[in-house]
Amino acid sequence: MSEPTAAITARDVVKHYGGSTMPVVALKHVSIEIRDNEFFTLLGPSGCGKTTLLRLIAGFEQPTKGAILLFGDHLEGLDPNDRPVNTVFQSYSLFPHMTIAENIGFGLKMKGESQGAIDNVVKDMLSLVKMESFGDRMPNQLSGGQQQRIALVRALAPKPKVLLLDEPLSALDLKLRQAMRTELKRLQKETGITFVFVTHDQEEAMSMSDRVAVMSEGELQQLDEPRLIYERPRNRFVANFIGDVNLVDATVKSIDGENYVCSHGKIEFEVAKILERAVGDKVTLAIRPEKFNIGNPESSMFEGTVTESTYMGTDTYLDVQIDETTNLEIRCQNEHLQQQLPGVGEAVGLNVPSGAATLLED
Amino acid sequence: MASNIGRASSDTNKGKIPWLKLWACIFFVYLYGPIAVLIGFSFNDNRIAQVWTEFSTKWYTKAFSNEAIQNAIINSLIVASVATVASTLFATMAALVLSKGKFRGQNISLGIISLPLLVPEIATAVATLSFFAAINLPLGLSSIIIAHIVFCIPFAFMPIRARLAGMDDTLQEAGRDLYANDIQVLWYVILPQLKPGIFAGAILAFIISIDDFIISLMVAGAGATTLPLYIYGMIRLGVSPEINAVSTVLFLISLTLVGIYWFISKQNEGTSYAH
Amino acid sequence: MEIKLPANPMTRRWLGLAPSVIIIFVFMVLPILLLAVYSFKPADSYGGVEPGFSLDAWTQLFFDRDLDDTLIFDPVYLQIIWRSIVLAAIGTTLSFLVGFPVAWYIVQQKKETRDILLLLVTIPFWTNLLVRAYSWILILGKNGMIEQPLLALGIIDDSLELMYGNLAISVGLVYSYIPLMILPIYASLEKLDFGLIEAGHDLYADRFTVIRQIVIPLCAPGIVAGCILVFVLSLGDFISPSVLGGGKKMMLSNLIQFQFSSARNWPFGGALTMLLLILVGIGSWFYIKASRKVEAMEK
Repeated sequence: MSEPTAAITARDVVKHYGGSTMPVVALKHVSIEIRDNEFFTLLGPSGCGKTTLLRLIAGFEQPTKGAILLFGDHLEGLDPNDRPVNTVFQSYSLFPHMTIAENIGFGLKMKGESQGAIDNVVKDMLSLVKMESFGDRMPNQLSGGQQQRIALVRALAPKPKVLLLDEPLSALDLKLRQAMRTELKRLQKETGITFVFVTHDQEEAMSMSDRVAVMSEGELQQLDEPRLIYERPRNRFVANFIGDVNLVDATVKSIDGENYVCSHGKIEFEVAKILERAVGDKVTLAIRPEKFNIGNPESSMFEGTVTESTYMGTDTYLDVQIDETTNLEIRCQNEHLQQQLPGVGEAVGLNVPSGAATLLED
Repeated sequence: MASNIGRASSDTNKGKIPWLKLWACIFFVYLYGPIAVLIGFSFNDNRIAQVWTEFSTKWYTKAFSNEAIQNAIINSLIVASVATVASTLFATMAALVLSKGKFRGQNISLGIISLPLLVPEIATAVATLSFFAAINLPLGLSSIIIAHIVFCIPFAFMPIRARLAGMDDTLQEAGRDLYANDIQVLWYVILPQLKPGIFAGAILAFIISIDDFIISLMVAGAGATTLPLYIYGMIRLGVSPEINAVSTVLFLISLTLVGIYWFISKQNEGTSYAH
Repeated sequence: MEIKLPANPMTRRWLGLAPSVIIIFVFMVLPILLLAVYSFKPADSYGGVEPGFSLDAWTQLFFDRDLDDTLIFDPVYLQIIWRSIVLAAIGTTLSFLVGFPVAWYIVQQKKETRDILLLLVTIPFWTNLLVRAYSWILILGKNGMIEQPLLALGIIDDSLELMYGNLAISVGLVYSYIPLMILPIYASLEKLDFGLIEAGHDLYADRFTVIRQIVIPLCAPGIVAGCILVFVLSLGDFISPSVLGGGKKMMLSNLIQFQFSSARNWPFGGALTMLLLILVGIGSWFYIKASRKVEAMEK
């Protein structure tokens, strides 16, 4: 069975800004494939190139090198108004001098649809976001959240093949943002359109996406399902950017079937053999704070001394010193009031199940 | 320290000088006094303009039944209207071009467009006259119109440009994203937003044209008298109550236009919505 | 609507700019250049110029030709030019002295009052200059607003002859252009850190010293801008000398206009215009230099 054509393919895309004296390199050889009917997120800190990539897909910029394909068709050189791709802008960019209905119908009007057809679509779009009575209002009469939803359906109305969303939730307050996340997910499933979502908020990315592309400084760091991004970060950047992590230096001690045994001092970790390494190689291991099991110092894999203990409601964070140079952050779930966790200065035993630690590329 | 900029709060740092308020009051009396005198005396019944006898509007009726004055007013309106339409159109086109991106010749174009603001009017006036004579252009209403268009362009240009600078760029991107071509973006997205700026520019151009004297003086042909030219002619014959009446009218026209401009400018400060 | 704009962005730019740039170039830049050329041509007695080359226009500035064609130094034109410069300078100084306190006062008010006051300052500027100058005749003239009560009270017996002199012209100049002095000064004052005035008082300076030594240097850019603006405009002003000067006290602009009407000496008019432009250019050059200096000072 042949692979279905990817919705968006970015092939070795490079983007430079600026003249010959001080060019800014926004994207350095980025290759990505986005599947049809997928909720795909570009995640990264500001300046990582995610918005640039989005704008290249939309057509507001052209790649310096490389190709961008939409279901196999080349997009480079095409103007935005020639691409069946629509964008939800970060600042919504609703036309202030048009009514909501006119805003939503704008794309169809430009494509030459009849007023009757436009009216029908506008009606459908408004009911999609449950704002049926808002058609005659002006954008400045709407709240931020309402404007955001109108911006969304304005981009959906012309039935694009791919919908691009440029940090659309960043201007909303927390509660609204969480509500909108569910909304967006639902809309994507309902419409079946590929969503390409740009954000710097890892919670958003993890909770909404089918797959996430983590970017930094113009390069793709890792492209995976959220689960794998979290459990199996490829490098330090991804490990640090998503959630909390402990980075531990270790040496490959032996190879045991599908695993490496790596040692940090006297402590041994069993990690999956996801990279080619030889005995004696220095490696970095990533261990998430919640992967540790606490136990008796005598009967555990290794032990350490608690230097800090922070109560956080659902969890308690312990900072544990295991040797002169290494402190680990441990997260323990607060199970009940009677639970006795080691206090500051006390010894604590730690266990790391096999596969809880993962090998990083750098 | 930043909170102290432009704001004088306590008495010591106000540098307050007690007679400052008095000075300011005297100043505004000085600024508006002569005009008030003019308007006041335009309602003076007396033939001798400066000696007050009683209230009367007869000079107004006399002035406006005067055919020459009627013609002058009509001429002024014709010139101002044509000059305004043309200069605003050209200024809008230029402003749209100059607002986007950088290109060679940008600064020179901007300089040329601003030139009429920098050159003394008398110089422009006589130079234009010489030029018209050299190309054998007959002097008349059309020569005035052409000369007015020249200096109305920069005046119309300024508010339009200001409005464009404050406009949200992403709206144009949104338009293009939603399948609008360049003409459609211009028509549906840019121009509707630009309207207050265009109106402000047009009003400004109209005011400047109506009020113009020196340039009109030099390039007007026989029979192409505008209102300011007519007033000048009357003044040379000495003070008379008709001048008061006509001048007051011209002043009030200018004042009304300034009022409209100010009102539109308030709108010009952005119809974008906040979120 | 399917009008296709030319695809090339540069072409579109030139199309948009063309009407404005061409009109201004053809009807303003070219004419001024033409006038410069004319100043080197012999005059045609019916107005206009005759072909050929002549320095007559420029020599006329300084010299008169005697019947036997010898040159006699005649300062009459230089006097007019000098008077223009002096009156413009007087007008500028007076504008500054009157306007600075007003700007100071305005900047001390709260925002709403400031806006209203600024509007009041600006309005006269947009009304007809001729009308505003004329209104002074009603005040300064024979039997005008000033003379009437004085005559009635017996304080004076005869007309003060306030009109039609240098005084009247100066008043007219100040009146015409003072908004352009106030606005730039206000703009500079608005950016002033009033905490510095406090610091000045703290260091034992009295009010006037503070103003002289702290405030004025700091709003120098506004003051310079205002002064140069007013000076340049006053230099080329036509209405005040012709309406309030009664044609007897000519300034440069009247002289120029005269050449193109009764005197029918276009080349001379051209030379005078070039002179005016040079003076204005010098003024502007000083402004640019001064503002650069101030910018450097601010760094």
